[in-house]
Amino acid sequence: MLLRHLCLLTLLSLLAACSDHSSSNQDNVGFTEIKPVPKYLQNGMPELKDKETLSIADNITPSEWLLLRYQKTPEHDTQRTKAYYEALLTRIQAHVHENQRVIANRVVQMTNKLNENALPIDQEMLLVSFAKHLEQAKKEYVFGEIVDNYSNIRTMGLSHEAAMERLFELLEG
Amino acid sequence: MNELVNSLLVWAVTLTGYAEPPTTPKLEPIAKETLSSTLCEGKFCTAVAYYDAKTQTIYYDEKLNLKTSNRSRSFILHELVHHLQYQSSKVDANSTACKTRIKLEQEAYRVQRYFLLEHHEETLEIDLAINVLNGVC
Repeated sequence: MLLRHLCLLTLLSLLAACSDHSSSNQDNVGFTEIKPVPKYLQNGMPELKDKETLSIADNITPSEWLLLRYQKTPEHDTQRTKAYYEALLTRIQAHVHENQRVIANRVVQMTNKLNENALPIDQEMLLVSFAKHLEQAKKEYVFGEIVDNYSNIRTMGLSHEAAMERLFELLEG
Repeated sequence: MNELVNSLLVWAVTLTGYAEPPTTPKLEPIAKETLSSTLCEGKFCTAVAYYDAKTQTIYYDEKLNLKTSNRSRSFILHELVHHLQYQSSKVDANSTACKTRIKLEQEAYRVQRYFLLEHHEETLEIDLAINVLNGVC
């Protein structure tokens, strides 16, 4: 598997080859300057952030990805398996247009966005609440849109539960 | 050429935090066919450079334009990061563990990416590579 990916990476290393031939004993004549390291990198690269998007090129399922993210949280339930997320994603998917990968991406992005704005939420709260409310909904929705609407309501100061109630009152009303 | 390598080393050392190496690696231009036979068993291959830890040499496609192309230079920078990794006691660059290999590769790609960004070069292929690496192990 690793070999396959490394081969893929090799393919990714495309290069617009140029006609100029170099040799190890080239002197510095004709070399253009390299920019100095910018200020924001003087203390090294920032930590690599966790991915916010699961791509179709990734070889894990949305439920596995969500589980991996969950397992990085403190005091997580070590007994939880990907089946937990599979079940939630399946329940949501039955009422929206998007596939499970897109649903997972929207949940993760929204979790990060709200947390950055100091609004408490985690991916499980979103998944559980959307699964519950969507099962009672009469219409089919675009998940990305209702997640955005939920976010707008949260930024008005409502708690997670109150925002979910209000969202579905507005949508189904 | 030495000046170029030294400038690239400054980038590699500053961004990774590894110690400045006691020696700089040798740079050896080679024919595309040699690269292909070494890295891809002679089959079609788009690889343009690699680092040989035993000889501390960066072999690169002789067609790379290191004089003026920052995109070409970014591949040398990538390999210089591997040189630092092998010189450093902080990481086990000889490890065959998947996660370690990927972490080292990702670090090299990230340095390359910042370099390209700073020089206003396209990073799409590098972004894709970093993304693919995330899901390998």
